[in-house]
Order: sequence, then structure tokens, then C-alpha cells
Amino acid sequence: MSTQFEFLGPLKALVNGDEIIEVDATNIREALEKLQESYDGLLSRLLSDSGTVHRHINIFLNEEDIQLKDNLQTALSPGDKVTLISAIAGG
Amino acid sequence: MNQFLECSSCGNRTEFKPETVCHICFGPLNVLYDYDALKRSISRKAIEARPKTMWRYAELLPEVLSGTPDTPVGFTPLVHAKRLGKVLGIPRLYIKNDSVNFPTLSFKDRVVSVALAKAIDFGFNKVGCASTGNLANSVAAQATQLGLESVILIPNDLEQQKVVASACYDTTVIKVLGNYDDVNRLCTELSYREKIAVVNVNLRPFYSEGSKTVGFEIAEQLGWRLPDQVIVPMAGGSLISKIDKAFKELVKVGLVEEKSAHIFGAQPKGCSPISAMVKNRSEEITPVKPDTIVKSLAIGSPADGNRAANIIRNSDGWAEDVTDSEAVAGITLLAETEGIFTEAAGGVTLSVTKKLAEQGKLDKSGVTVICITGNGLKTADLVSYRTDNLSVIEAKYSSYKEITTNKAEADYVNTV
Repeated sequence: MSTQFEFLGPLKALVNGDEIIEVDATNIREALEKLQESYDGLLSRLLSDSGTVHRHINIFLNEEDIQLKDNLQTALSPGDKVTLISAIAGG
Repeated sequence: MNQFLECSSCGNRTEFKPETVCHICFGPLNVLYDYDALKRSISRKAIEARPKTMWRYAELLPEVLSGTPDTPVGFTPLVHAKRLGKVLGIPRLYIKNDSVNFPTLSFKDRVVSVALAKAIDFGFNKVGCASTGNLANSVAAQATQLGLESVILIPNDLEQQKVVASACYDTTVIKVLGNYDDVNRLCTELSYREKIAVVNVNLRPFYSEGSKTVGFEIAEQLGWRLPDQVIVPMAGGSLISKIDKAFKELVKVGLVEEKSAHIFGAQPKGCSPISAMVKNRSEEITPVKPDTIVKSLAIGSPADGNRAANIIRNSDGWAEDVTDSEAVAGITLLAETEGIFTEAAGGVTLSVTKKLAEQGKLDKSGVTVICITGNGLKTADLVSYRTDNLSVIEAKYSSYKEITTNKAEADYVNTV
């Protein structure tokens, strides 16, 4: 079983509007690198020059912010769901 | 375009629409104005002739096509806090008292007034919010006033008084199992999936402009002068950013003289990612899991955290954080000196001001403004210990005399 990736709102444009994308990977970084193969330019829009997730984007693994886990090294398990969403909200 | 949205990151400009991020770089959209044109047309005299509400600064707020709201939101008192100033050693100390804002006793009434006006402009019939309590109260109340359907999402563990102060209106309140950041994520998703104006998500650029009116009013109430120092509570970091923007806009349009106002931020120690970024001189916010009784400041992943920290640094200000017990002490200090009953966030701001004064980080001769953003009745349980040992007497003068004589004697003993 693979991990489901979902890009919401304006981030959906990065994956050509696709709803749910299945990826086989052991951690978030590896998954994003695999997605890059199908969606050209994805990584450069998601990551900053230093290779970390851009400050305007939040990535959640099963509803938990990966910044509170191991960031891009956060491990994935079969059946996990990863959601990418704008960080500019709330307050 | 006299008003437009501009991406704070890449500078891309677009016309007003219910969106919060740039489609090119996903940076935050910010409302900007034609300041050169405004400089030629705006005047102190014209503003002073208008009703005493936040909408007297309409030129520096998003234009409302459906008509400028006429509800009396804003223009709250700026109180010269002489007794508190004596305690802190700051004679020219002022309290910007949004604990008496209309209609729901917090600064959130300002942002909601703008957001709901724009929701109507954009054709929404349904509005909502992710809230730690005060915003929930205001969206529920003002949506009711305007006849809009509303849905309020809050963390499950909010203070009961704040939940009641939302549920009493014509609204739907939903408690979410999780903290504010969980609610915020859910609301962001909701705004993408349904036709709803979530005021602090897809209306955020307009909503946050309402916070500027705190800064406009401070300047006008000081006689069209900027303060030397302002101390502001921080949750998501939006209010402090917008007060800075307000001060800069007043200079740009010629309403006040240029001056560097030093900006200070206040957070509870149990949720202090912005304060930590300032104090550690780090480049990025590190999100935290909130652990504090100060629910209204419990945002672990602040959307405007980086911006707030940079504004503080650029203004030669500072940020501090205080414990929960210091926050409660701040509530009572303000109440006992100035007769103003604030909520936990106000207690944080008060105690941070005291701490900054003790650290020598404040210029004690400067004009200093503390922003009090919410009302103590909403977190009254935090100071309910003050009622533990109240006297109970029979309805007879002799009983009254006995108790007050005993108290006077006890007070005298305590002084010698």
C-alpha cells in the first residue's frame, strides 16, 4: 500500500489539478522527489534555496505538521495521507 | 487601481478577490493603496469630522462596494495610565483599551467589520472562522447583525465564557478535537472545498487590514503623533504587523511626522515561537505545540510569525514571554491600578511590559502604549480565586461595622 498525497487550494496547480496521488516512498523528501518526475518544477516551488520546505507552505502527515516531526525526513508508512496546504491562514 | 492586492514575497499585483495567497509563489497577499493620491486628498480635519468609529479611516481600508459599515466599531479609549505608570516608572504610559470594543469586547471586532463587509461585496451568504474565542464571538455577533449564515470552528478546550459568547447568537458553533492549529488547517481546507468566506483564510488580506485601525487611533488620540514604544500581544503575529503598517501609512500620506516607533511583542511562555525567534536571533519561526492557559495567544504555527519578528527587529524593539502565573498577575495589576479588567492575553501584555521595563529595554521617558485587546469577563475563571475569602454578613449595620473595623485593624497590623 502506498502513501496518498493531496495538494489543496492554489497548490493543486503544482500537480496539474490532480486530486489524490499515490506514491511509494519511505519519507516525505523521497516522495516529493518521485513526484517531481511526474510534475516538472514541483520541487523548486515547494522548497527554498536551502532545501527546506518554503515558509509559505505547510505539509501535514495524517493531520500533523511535519515541522513538529522530522520535517522532510519524516518517515512514511503504507496507508498514510500527506496534505500540502498554504501556511498563510489564521490569526 | 487605487487599491490592489500585492504579494509580499514576489510583488505580483492583482485586483481584489477572495484569496489569501499569490498564485505564483504562494506568498501572502497584502492590500496596498495609492499613497501619493491619498496624500493629496486625505486630511486630519476631514477624518476628525467623521463619526468616532474605525471607519473614519475609510481611505486606508479596503473599499466596500456594498456601503461602508455604520456600526460603531472601534475608536476605543486611549487611557493615560497614571497609576500603572507610577508602578512601572513610565509616566507617559497609555492603555489602548479594546476590551470595550463593540460589539463583542475585543479588537477582533475591527477585523470582522472589514471582513464581513468584503464577504458581502464578493457575494458570500455564509461566513466562518477558525478562532481561539474572541474572533468566534465577533463573527457570530456581526454575522447575526448582517443576516449572514455563519459557522464557527473552535478548539474543544476553550474557556466556557468564550464558547457561550459565541453560541448565544444566530450561528453554528462546532468544537474541534485538537488545538487552534488543527482548527486552522481544517478551516483552510473548508475554504477550498465549499463556498464560504472564512474570514481569516480566504478573506485574510482584507480582514487583517482592520487591525490597522488600532494604530490609526493611537496616533490620532495622541494628537496625531506616533508613540515612542508600543507593546502588542502576539498570537499569529498579524496585529503587530498591521500596527506597524498603520504607522508607516500615516507617515506616507502625511497625517503624522516620521518617527521610529519601537515595537515590542508579548507572548505566553507556553506558546512563544515569535518571541523565541526574536530572542534567539534566528532566521525562521520554529513551530511549537502550545501549552498555556492563555488560549487566545495559543497559536503554535503563526502565519505572520516571521514578518512580526522582522518588524520588531527593524524597529529596534524586542519580544518577551511570561509564565501563566505572571499572566494572571498582569490581569490583577491592570485591574488594581487602572480599573480595567482584561483577559489572559492582556495579562501577558501587561506582565511583558513590566518585564521589559525591569530589563531596561523600554525608554521610561518615552510615550508608551500597551495594547489591551480583550475583556476579562471572558476569562474570569482565571481570577476567580479573588472571591474565595469574601466576607458574608447579615443585612445589619452592626455586622457591616464589625467586619470593616476588623478589616481596618488587620490592615493596620499588616502595615506595622
